[in-house]
Amino acid sequence: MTAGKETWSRTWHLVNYKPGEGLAARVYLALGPEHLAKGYDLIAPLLRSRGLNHRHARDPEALRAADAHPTWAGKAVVIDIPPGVDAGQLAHEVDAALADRGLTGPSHLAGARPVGGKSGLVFVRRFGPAAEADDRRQRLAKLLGE
Amino acid sequence: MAIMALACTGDPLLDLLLAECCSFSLRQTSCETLAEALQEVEEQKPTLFFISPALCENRPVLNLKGVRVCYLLEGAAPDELDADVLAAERITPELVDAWVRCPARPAQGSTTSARPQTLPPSPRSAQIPPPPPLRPTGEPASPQGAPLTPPAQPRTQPMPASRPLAARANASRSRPEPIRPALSVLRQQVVTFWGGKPGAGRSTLAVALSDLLSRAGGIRVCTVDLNPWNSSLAALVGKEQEVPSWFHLSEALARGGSFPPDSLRWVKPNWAILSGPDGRPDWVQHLTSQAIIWLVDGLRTQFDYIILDPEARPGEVRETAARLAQTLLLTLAPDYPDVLDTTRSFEAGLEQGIIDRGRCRLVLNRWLETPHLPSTDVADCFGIPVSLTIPAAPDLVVGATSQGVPVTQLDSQAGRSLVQALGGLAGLVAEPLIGAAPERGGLLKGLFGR
Repeated sequence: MTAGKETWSRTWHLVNYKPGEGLAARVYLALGPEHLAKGYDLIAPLLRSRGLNHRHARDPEALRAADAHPTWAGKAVVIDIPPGVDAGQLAHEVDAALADRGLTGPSHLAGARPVGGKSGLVFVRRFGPAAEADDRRQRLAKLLGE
Repeated sequence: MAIMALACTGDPLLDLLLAECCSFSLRQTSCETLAEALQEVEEQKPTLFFISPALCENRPVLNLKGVRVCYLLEGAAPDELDADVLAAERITPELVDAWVRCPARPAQGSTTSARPQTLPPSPRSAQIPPPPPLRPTGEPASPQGAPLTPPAQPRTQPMPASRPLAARANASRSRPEPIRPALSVLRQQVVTFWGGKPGAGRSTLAVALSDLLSRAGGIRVCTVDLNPWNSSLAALVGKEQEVPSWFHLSEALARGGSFPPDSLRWVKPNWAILSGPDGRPDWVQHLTSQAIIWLVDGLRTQFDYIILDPEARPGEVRETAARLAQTLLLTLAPDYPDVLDTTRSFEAGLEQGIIDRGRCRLVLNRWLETPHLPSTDVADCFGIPVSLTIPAAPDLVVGATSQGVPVTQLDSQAGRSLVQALGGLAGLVAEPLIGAAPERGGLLKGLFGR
């Protein structure tokens, strides 16, 4: 995989492998500031091998400060999932990489739902029609008592 | 009516910073992506729309019609971005407010297509590295700190002094309204002088400080004469023959226009001054608190350091300058009444909340240590340490000022100790800059250790 283009913003370190790629979903890692570095280290090889555009808080202080923002609070690592990639499957792979490592983080992220794996740190949000379908599935599952 | 703004920068800390700005009313959004941002713009129809590189694939937004889009960029310079770019090493609410108060760029297709004036490659910007990634990712380093594109003729060329004033003024009026350049400010800071009686050396020190900063490489400096009656700055840099800046400034203020770049008098390509009204009643009446804020806002978009030289007299000019400044240089001469008066006005300023000790640096100018007025006692009066002592050298200073050159450019053997002492001025307002070049022994050694 070719190296991604790195950009720094006030909050983020952004790594873009494929600029201009569409966005079908986002996978979030809800890592606490103290586990940011360790958590990112665990999933970085996976992201690099798949060439997935992503961003992570540039340091624990930035992550702490971003907690004041209602939309971005707790979102330590954000992975952009392009169309054609199964966000659910990737979320479970990420979850498996983070499981049983003693990592902790917030249990709720705005606009995203937990994947519910072993780590409890991975959340998904879908965009576009897929998101509506996902919501419908969730409502149906709730009605059926699943 | 308040300007309505929408922020969807994709960067939470920038969004939070925008909430601190006072020139517009910010509508909070919960959008994370470009598609969501466009939907918000469609629904809310804001006047201003803030984005940043953290909102990936944001280029389609830059051409939105009916909304002024501001692209906030920290660190690296924009690469041929056809948008209003607010680029700074560190964006602050003041900088954003200044940008908002400036008129927008003309619409695309306009005949004026001046590209932003940017700085030459700055060794300092390269010295400020981006923070390292949490762990090495095996990927190339970020391009942050990349050199900016080369410039750089002064925005206004001085006109021949032989032309009559009215002709020169008409010539400047007939020029097309210059468009606001995209911002590219590295270290935006306002510095003001405070206290002392007339003749304590504030203007001389303002010129010396500006000269030092302008020689530090890649820094743009503007020195502003805020003395309504005894405006001496132009004479100190040999610009007294040029049209006073207040000719243009008072006209722009009277018609409620934007800051006129024609009012800048360029000493060097990266150092300009704004000369004072020099006692002309019709110009002096415009030198108000609002005018100073308007002036500084106009300059913020073009200069890294703005050095204000207000009058010594207490009043709205001095107070406004003190409120705007990040650093205040308390300048005193070895004169008991001067110390007493300045202490009183300093304490009054503290009580009124105009100044605070954290922003103040005590500078003893033309100092002659006497048993009756030791510098330690002076420091006790103000409750802050003496940051700099500049020895008295009246002959040298008079010699330099009469030639219209900054005292920091004295190259005689006799002037060496004075120049050495003055070198400390830059350190008072640009500490990070000094520390940025330890291998050269800092800026001071680089400039004066020869």
